[in-house]
Amino acid sequence: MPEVRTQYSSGSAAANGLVACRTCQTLLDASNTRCTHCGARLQVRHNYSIQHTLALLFAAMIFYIPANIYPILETQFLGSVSASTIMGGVWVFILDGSYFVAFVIFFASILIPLAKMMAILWLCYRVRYTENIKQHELTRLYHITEWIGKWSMIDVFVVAILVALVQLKGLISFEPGIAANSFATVVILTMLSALSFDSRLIWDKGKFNE
Amino acid sequence: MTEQQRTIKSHTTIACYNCDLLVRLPETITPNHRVCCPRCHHNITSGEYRSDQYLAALSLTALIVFIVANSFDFLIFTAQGQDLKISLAAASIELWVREFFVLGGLVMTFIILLPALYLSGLFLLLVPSRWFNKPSRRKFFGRLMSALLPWAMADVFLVGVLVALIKIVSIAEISFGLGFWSYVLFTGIFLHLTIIMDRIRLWRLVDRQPTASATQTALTHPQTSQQSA
Repeated sequence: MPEVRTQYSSGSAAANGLVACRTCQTLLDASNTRCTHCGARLQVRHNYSIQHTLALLFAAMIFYIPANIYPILETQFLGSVSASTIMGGVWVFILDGSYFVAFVIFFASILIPLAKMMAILWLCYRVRYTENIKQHELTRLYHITEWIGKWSMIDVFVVAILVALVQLKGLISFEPGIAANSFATVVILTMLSALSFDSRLIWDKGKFNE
Repeated sequence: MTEQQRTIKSHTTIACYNCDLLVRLPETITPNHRVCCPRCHHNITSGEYRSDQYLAALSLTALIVFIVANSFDFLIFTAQGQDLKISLAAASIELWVREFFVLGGLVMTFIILLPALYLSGLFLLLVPSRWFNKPSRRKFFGRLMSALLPWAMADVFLVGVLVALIKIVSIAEISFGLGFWSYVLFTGIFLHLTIIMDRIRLWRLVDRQPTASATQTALTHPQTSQQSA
C-alpha cells in the first residue's frame, strides 16, 4: 500500500480525488490502479519516490568510486601500453593544449555527475525534511538535473568509438578499462534516480498549500 | 463517472505533468503559442501544429537516412599506409565480437535501437495500415515511445565522436564518411521531431485513427489537408 501523505497541493488532481496517467495524460478517478485508456500503472504520486531515488543514488555513488580510480581507457601505442583514468584523460588534453576539449570532458565526466548527485540529494532533503521550500527554483533544479544527465555519457561513447573504430595493427589500438563500465553504470543509475523523483512532491509542500 | 465522461474530460482538462495542477486546455491553440502551467510554468504543449504529412515525411526521411548512416562508412582513418573504415552498425557489432558487451550493448541500444524505434513508431502512427490501426497496438507504441525517449542519446554520441577525433587527430588522417554525415542529419531530424511531439500531441496522435480516405485527400489535395492539421 502506498504511504499516506500529509496533503496534496490545492487545485491539484490528487486534491480533487483524481489521478493523471503519467503516460497518456488521461485524468481518472483516484481509485483506479491502471489507466483505462493506455493500460499504464497509475499512482497518485510515485510510491516511495524519495526512497527509490535515494536508493538508486547511493548505488550510483558506490559505482562512482571504481569509475574514478580505475583506468577508463588502455592505449597501445607503438607497442607500449598506457592506461588513463577519467581525470588523467582530462590532464592529457590540458597538456596537449586542447583546453576546450579538456573543459568539455571535465564538465561532462566529473562536474555533471557530481553536481547531479548533489542536486538529487538536495531535492530529496528539501522535499522530505523542510517546510516552505522555493518551489520554482527546486523545479528548475530538477529539470536541469533530468536533462543534463545523459550528457555524462560522452566519455563512455568516446571510449566506445576509439575501441571500435581505431584498430591500426602495430601502431595504435584501444581497450576499455574497468572504469568504462562503472562509469556507464553511474550515468544510468543517476538517470533512473532522477526519473524516479516525483516533481509533484515539490508542489505538495510550502506556501502554496495553505 | 462513466467511461465517456472521462474521455471527454481528458481532452479539455489535464493535470500538469510537473506539478499536478488541474489545467483547462484551450479549445484551439494558435500556432507559436505555448500553453504553460499557471503555477509552475511548465511547458504543457504548444500550438505549432505541423501537418501529419510534414511529420510523416520527416520521420520517413530520418529512417532512410538512418539506414544509410548504419551501412556506409562512418569514419575513415589513414595512417602509415593502412586504411581503416567501419560503419556504425559494424562498429557496435565489433564491440560485441570483442566481448565488450556493456559498451557494445550501450551503443547498440542508446544510439541505434532506441532512436530508430521512436521514429518507426512515429511513422507507423502517422500512416494508415491495417495492421497498425488496432487501438491496442497504437497504444502499445505510444507507451513504448513515451518510455524510451529519455534514453535516446544520438546527440550525446555525436559530441562523443568529435571528442574522440580530437584525441586521435595527431596520429592518423581522418575523414568523415557518408555514414557520419547521414547520422548528423538523422540526429537533427530526430531532435526536431521530439521537440514537436510533446506528451499531449503524441497521445492525440495515438488516439486518432488515420483513415484511408484522409490519406487519399492528402495525396490528391495536399494543400487543403495541410491546413486542417
